[in-house]
Amino acid sequence: MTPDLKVRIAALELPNPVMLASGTCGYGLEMVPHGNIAGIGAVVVKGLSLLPSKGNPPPRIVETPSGMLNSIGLENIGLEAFLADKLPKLRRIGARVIVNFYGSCRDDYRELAARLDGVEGVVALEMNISCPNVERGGVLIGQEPEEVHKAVSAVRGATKLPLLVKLTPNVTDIRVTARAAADAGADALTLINTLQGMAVDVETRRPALARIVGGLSGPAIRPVAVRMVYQVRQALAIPIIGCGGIWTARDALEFLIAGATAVQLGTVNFTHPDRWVDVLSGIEGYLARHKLERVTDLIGSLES
Amino acid sequence: MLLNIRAARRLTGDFHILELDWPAGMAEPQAGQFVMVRTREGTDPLWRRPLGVHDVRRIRGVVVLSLLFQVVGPTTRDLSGLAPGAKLDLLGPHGRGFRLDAAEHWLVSGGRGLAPLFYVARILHRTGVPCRAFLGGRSAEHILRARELERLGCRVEIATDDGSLGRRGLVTALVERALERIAERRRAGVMILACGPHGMLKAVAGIAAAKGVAARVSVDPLMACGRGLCLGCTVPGREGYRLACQHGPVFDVRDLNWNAE
Repeated sequence: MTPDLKVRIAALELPNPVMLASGTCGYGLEMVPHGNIAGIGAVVVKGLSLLPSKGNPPPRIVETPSGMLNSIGLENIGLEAFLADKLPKLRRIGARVIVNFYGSCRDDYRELAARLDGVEGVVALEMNISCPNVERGGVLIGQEPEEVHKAVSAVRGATKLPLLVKLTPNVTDIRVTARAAADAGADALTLINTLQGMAVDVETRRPALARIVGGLSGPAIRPVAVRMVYQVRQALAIPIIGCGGIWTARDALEFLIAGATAVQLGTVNFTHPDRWVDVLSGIEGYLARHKLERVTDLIGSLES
Repeated sequence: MLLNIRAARRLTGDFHILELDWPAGMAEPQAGQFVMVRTREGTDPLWRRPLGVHDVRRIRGVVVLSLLFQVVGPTTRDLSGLAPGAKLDLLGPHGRGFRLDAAEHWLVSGGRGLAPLFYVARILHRTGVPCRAFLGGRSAEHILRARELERLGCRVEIATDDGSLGRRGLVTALVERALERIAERRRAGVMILACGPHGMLKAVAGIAAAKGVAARVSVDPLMACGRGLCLGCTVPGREGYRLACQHGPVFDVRDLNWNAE
């Protein structure tokens, strides 16, 4: 018997628990040459702002041991261009689209959420209050529990769509900001965005990134992400989407067992654009091997 | 996809060439495009590495892709150890290549910068369009495939930093002098195609502007994905940032901002 991969995150029903993470799959359409993106649980598109943003100066990326640092700075085409040029194509393909969005102030967040509310073809919103690479908004909101509460409340009041809030790991206790987001009406939490990091070119004695500090992603951060998913799962009832360094089906299973209802593949898409296919079949094989009928039987099943 | 390695050989020093059977039915790589390769399982190194399309030939009906590389890190070290019969994990081709629409083309390379230019010489040889090559490098060991370029009808000039082959000095000085020696009317038909270190490309941009000739360069910033997902490989353009993997890697020198830090 084929195991049932369906998951439910608040009102959001997905055929399987595997998503592509924002900022690693373009606007979804870039992944079309690598597989039928309608088969992905959901595609979380590149973080959108009200107006187009040109992002940070280069160099923006550097490779680190089993990871990478980035300082892209949320370069994006802006909400209007996305709705006009990208979303209709995504709808035709039948992809489930989650729109990641960010603002430089609370009003921006609210306006974006309001304008995306009820847009045909958008199944959920992912609020980004965790980008470490922008001057305003982003992580500056996400590190302060009171700011998190205010910003999420503002967005909650502006949309009926399922609301995911993507949190930063750059805090002392993830449970504090997680609780603030949950109390303010978030439907789910995406854990985690990148960890702040830095690399130096020792020959030139210059920072590897133009903005000096960037966000670390990739397998190097996976144990941190799994720990945070576990901690929040223990503390709160809100559904969690696990994200951080998933490279294989085994890694995705780790998150599900620790308490994530779904997972996002991020940095791996750069090296293996079709990896989501292998992760899905790997999860399916695992469930069959362990005689589990539903993937939901696995969620939070950690023995301890 | 996994490609079969048909031949592998060392050129000089750290420089090697791999020849791969290109799968039938796949879009044929174009001059100036690149592919993304990886040699190891696991996550170190994390990224694939971009390599320019060095040459494309048809051998008994099979399209054969050549890649020229210098051993500089783990991936290229692995590549240098691959033997015929082995497989290489490769994605591509990616990017926008060279448009070959001038009356004559001058290829300007620094070291392994010859990689994406060689195939241009082959195409021009086939179509009978005049082609010259200016090869620069640290020493004789860094001057690659000069004889083959001559066989493809290129007039070849060489400059090395240490004078061990050709003139001592910068390859761009050779280009500048050659431009001064031709009539202004002929200059209007010259297209410079260059690939090499940033300083060399910047000098080419300066010479092109000063002498009123057209020039296109192939740039090589760090790349994670090679196809517009990560937005990491930006280069400063005349108007905003450009993505090397999507808008390039080949750019008209006038479309880039050479004064950006």
